[in-house]
Amino acid sequence: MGKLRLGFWAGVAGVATTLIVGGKTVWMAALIVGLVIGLLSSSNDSITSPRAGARHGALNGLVAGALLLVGQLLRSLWLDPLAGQPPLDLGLGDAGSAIVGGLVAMAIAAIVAGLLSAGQHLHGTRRTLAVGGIVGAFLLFLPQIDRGLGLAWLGDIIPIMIFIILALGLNIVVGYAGLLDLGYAAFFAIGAYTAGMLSSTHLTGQFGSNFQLSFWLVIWIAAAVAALFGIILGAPTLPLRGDYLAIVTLGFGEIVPILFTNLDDVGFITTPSGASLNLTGGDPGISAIAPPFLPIVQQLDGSGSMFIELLGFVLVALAALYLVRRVLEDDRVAGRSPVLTRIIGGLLAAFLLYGFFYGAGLPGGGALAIPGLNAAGQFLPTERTPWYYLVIVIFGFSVFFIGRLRRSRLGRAWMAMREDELAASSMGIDLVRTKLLAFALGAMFSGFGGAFYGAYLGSITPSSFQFDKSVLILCMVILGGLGNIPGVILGGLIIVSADIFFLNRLTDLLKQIASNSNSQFLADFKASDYRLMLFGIVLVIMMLVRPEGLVPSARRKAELHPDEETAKRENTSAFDVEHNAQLTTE
Amino acid sequence: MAPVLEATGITKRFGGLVAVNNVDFVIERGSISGLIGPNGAGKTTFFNMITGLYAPTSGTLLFDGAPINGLKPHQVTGLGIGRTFQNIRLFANMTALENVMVGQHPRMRAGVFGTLIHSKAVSAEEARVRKRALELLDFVGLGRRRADEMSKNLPYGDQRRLEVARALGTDPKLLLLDEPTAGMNPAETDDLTRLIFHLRSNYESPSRAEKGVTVLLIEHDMKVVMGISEKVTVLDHGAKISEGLPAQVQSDPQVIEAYLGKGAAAHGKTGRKSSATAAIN
Repeated sequence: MGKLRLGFWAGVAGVATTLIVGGKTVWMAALIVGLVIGLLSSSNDSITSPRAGARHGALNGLVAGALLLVGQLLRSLWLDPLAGQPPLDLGLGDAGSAIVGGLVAMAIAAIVAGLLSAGQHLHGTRRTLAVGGIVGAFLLFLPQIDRGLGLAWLGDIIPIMIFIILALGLNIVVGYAGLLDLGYAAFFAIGAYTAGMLSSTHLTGQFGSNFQLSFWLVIWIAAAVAALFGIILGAPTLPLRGDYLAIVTLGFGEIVPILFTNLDDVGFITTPSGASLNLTGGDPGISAIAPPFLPIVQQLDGSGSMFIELLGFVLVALAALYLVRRVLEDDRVAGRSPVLTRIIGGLLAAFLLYGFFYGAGLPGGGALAIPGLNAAGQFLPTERTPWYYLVIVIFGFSVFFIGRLRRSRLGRAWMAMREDELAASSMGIDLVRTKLLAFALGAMFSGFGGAFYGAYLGSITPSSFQFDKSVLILCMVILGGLGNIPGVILGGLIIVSADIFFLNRLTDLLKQIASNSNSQFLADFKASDYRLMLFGIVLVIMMLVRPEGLVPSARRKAELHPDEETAKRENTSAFDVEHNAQLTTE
Repeated sequence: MAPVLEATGITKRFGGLVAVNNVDFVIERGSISGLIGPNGAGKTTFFNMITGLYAPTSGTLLFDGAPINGLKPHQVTGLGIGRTFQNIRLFANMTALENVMVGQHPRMRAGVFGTLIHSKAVSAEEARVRKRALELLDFVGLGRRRADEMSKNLPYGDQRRLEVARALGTDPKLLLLDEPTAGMNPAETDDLTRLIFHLRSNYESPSRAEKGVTVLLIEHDMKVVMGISEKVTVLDHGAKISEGLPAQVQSDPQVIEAYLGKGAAAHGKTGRKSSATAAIN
């Protein structure tokens, strides 16, 4: 049974999705369940060969698929009639369609899980290619799958990804450096507001201009400003540790949204019209934030910023070129095959060339318009596909660079500091610098997330950055596994999708059932009202049952369960036994 | 050659308590010196002033001819003073290899930007540091097979060795060992004593031509101190009461009095049983 636990739990999550959402959800759920099983099978040490991996994955996939079949039957034959919804229809009658649909889902889950799990246990480059290929293909074609199944999930997936990027940033501060930050949403707000001020006419309009910067520049500036504020807000907390640090960051988290609410009337600066400067837009916030344009070099509304944009573009292109060359060389030194790097580098080059020619208005560019953009190449708020790809790119870069930080001199210094500050400083680690860098780099990623968030929503208000957001992001980090990137991604996926996806859909479903059955109780029941209670329960259970998170890093596990695996390896000379006894009594 | 460390008139007051009182202290290059004294004599306070954890209330500390009074611990380490701790303070949830790599922090230059783009210099440095860490694990006798073990899973004696390897990672000119054999059985103590001898003359620094490192140790175990120190300094109630060759110090009545009390010094009676008594007698 233990071997199939993964499939069981993934299947339960899939069944919940199927029951709540309905339609052709079961196939998407099967796909995702298969991917999750495949990805998590890498942490199973008992699998030694790709063949064993395939078997493990397929078996777990079948278990999950069997649950999905049951889920689909329940949905089609019980919930759909109850809610007055048309059940899944494959032209075989309700029961027949449900069974066939469920069986197809079972096959999808088993095949995907088997393939991915086999790929996880290949070696070296083949593993990277296999896993990267499967996951990459899924991410690449997700919008098409979504459209094909008629689900319209992208609008929820994009904010989920934004929050996962934020969680990855917070993971640097809390997971790596061990600094408990309860006000992380403040940096998210700072990134979003920086982007809002620079890429709307909110500020320049008060001075009678319509100058605004392009998203492609603003996202870097927002990240830099957030990092700067990371240092400014981090500096006073330097001498503090533990509880005291948490309280001070909590204070910052409260101050920043209040500042953004109240900086709408800055008395000592007057605009040409004689009014005092409205810096942040007060309660209604900033609106009409320009979305990105795909031609990267783009003249915005006669603002004359063409030169800056061009310069920025050239710099980004050079940086990208250098980065790809460096990775190629790393591949060579480490004896890895450079195929994957070449593919990614080629895609990047094609995109940059496209951006240049299309945007510079050179011949041949205009013909290559991308669906989802308007004639001028602007991202449309109604069409999510280009936004989705953009957020996936930002997410990919965040994972890549945070992984590098983790395995560097700086990453080791953060962990050493988390383990023992005094010993770390005695090893030559400058605590001030290391802490500030943790705050700055953690804030930087929230700056990326914030800039994207502002552009995506088109308007921002202070109420989007309250304390509950800080807590939400912290929960994501803790639920998944402090200090572990895959864990944080999984935790983020679960918490945010519960928050903005499941609870809303559940409310809808209950509403439909209520209107169909005239039940007053169900009509009054609003599932999303219970979100905080639900998180509370989840956190309490997690902390009691599995404090190291769902996908813990090996370190955390060792820290929190010292007696399990580690005990076996411990030296058991008479002295050690005595010494360990001493340690435990202390 | 000028001494590695020269302390003149070092005093440390904690409020009304004088923990270290007007101590002069010199460590010759390439020597192994011992600092002993009964509990509460001010040994660790003195140690902590050298490593920058406390700033002396008055007096000067010269390291390699330059003042180090009031520098931060990481600055002192950067100048070339490495240390271990009395109660082992390894980074428990990092591997042995990572511990030694953290030790090399002050000898690395990688910045944030270089790390993000993996510049040539950074990748080369990372490879060099990893190799060096493995060499140091070999050097202290841990061997490479333990490299990926969480440091807290190592047996106690190995943890002590790992602490020495980590301190050597900082490429010290002066290595301070705070009770390195505390809590060890006699066999382990012998091994560690040999290691201290070994590194004193055979440590190869990546940055200096000459071999070896100067060692200062604090010890309670008289046998260890007397066995390996070339010079022993005795502190009592914060003041230096004796200094010299181990044999001289051992027979100094003031030292016996400090350890065993007045009566014992006069009549040669055995005071309370401790390793110190046993070793001196």
